Amino acid sequence: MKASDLLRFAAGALAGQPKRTSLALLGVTIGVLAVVVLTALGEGARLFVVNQFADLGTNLVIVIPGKTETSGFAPFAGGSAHDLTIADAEVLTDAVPGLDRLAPLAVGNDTVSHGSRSRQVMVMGSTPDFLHVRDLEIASGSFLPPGAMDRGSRVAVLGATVARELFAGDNPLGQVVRVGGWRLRVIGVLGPRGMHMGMDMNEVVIVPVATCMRMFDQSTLFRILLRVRSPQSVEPAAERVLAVLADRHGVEDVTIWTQDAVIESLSSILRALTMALGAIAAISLFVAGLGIMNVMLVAVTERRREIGLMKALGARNRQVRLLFLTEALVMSTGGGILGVIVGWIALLGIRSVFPDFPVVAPAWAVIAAIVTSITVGGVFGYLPARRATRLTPMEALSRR
Amino acid sequence: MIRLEGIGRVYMVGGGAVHALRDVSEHIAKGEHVAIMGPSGSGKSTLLNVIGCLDRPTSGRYFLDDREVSGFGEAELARVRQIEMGFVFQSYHLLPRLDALGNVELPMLFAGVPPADRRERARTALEQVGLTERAHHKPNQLSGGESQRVAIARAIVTRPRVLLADEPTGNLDSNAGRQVLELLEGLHRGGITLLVVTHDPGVARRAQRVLVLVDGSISRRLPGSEMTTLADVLAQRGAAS
Repeated sequence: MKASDLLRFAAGALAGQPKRTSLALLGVTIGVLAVVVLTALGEGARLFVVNQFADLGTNLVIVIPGKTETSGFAPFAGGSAHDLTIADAEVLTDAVPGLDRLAPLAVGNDTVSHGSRSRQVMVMGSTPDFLHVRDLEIASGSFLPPGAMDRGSRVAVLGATVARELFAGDNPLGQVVRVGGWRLRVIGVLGPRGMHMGMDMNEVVIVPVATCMRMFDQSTLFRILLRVRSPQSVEPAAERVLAVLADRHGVEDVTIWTQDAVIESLSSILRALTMALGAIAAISLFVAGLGIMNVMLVAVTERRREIGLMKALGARNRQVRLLFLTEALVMSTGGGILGVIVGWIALLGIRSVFPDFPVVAPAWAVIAAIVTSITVGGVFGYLPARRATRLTPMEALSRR
Repeated sequence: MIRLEGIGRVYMVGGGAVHALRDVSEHIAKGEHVAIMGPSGSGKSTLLNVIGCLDRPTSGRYFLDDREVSGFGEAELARVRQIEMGFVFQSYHLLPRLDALGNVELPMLFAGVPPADRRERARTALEQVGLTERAHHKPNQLSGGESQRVAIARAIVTRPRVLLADEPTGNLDSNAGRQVLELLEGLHRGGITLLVVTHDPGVARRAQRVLVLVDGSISRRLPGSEMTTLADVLAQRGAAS
């Protein structure tokens, strides 16, 4: 039998049972749709997080106090033999080859208030270079003043939201805000900025690093951020930082993050998440395959006389199986294609509702979904067809 | 041409054995017109199905010409059905989703005849049964007689040597039945070997020979012209024995 004959015959048989065919088609469509949409969401989450970290700025080396036993994430508290100090940061400024900018970072939480208004904010202590390391912009006024790192003046730069909510349209420059027991003069306001490594840069108050450490009575920095001039400088810079600090502290007691390593580890975690979502969706595809099998089983039972007739007219078992297999394949392929199209439309919809969230179905998922649906359809279509041909033509023809 | 030697067919039904055919031996010559009669359950349809390779005998040997069909595998049997045999069933067995032409084309689909040839030969076959105008009607738009004539066209489109008809007029009124019989007899005159299963003595009478089956065995063989009623024929046998 020719392929065109097979297809025409199968299409005719499917069209002859529109309700049953469309239900099976729907099952496959939903299965493939699930794979496409779920993996797109997983992939979107991955890209979203990766983009966030890429926002850190390129060529970044981050020093974290404390040594982690395994590579990967550093502990956020404890485990450090020595404090990471402003003096360490000053030494690194002169010691690291290829260094472009360096900013120490101290962090605390407190309430900021002006007059009767107040809100909870994250207070960040740093130096003028922080602006460049973090790619921040000043909307009005100026950023932290230059000067020795350990000399903290009582000035503050406000995040956009903080400025808006505390001053409600008034000009905050030159005004005084209160953070805990400290009175700070506002010297600048940051431009609006999105989420950033889980910190909303609109909701921060930035002060000189020494001021911050005194305000919160801290002895250690939260981070030292270094930006080097080229990607090639990242690795030697990281090694130099480790060596210098090990020498100063007498022991290797800091952890180095580079942007590439962070993005890589996060990305691989999130890719695993996407695959898990894909696997869950694949189950629905499998269920859709069972649906096809059910349809084909019913078709075989209902069409037993047709099978008997085909055999009486000289059809070989192989040909009968091929006919039913073709039916199942037409159904599963059709469902697969439909699922991809509907999935694509669904993604367009999601994108229009959440424009910031980069939902894109990964090519491997789309291909896997189509291949799986066709395979599942083929296997589940073949099994009933095999059963169909076991009867002699006479047994199949006689109604029982 | 068709030689049966001690053919038996046993069905297993609910753990018990049912002997549909017992030790049937018969020879049917090329070009014969033979009717198979018998009461319900006498095995007449089973005999026709065995001859047509729709069913396999459980014992005995079946020769078609000099080939032992009873030893054939699935593919060879399919080929015999495709090339040598044409079937006409009591309930037509037309595919409802195909029009008359499509139904007639069906056997050629499996034989791998190119589409253009198929169409042409199907048209010719429909012409032979006088249904050219009905070519694009679906089975539900055809009368019983027309449906059976489409089925006959389908049976002969592959130009088989043997035409097997199982109660071909069973579902038809007398007028349509007569048309179908005349059609079958015309084909027989054209040289085809015709085997008809029937319970209608009027149909059997038109055959050259009649085989009367009782309980799976051939009980009587008589010329068609001597056929009266089944009861009579069986009574005569009782009287004779």
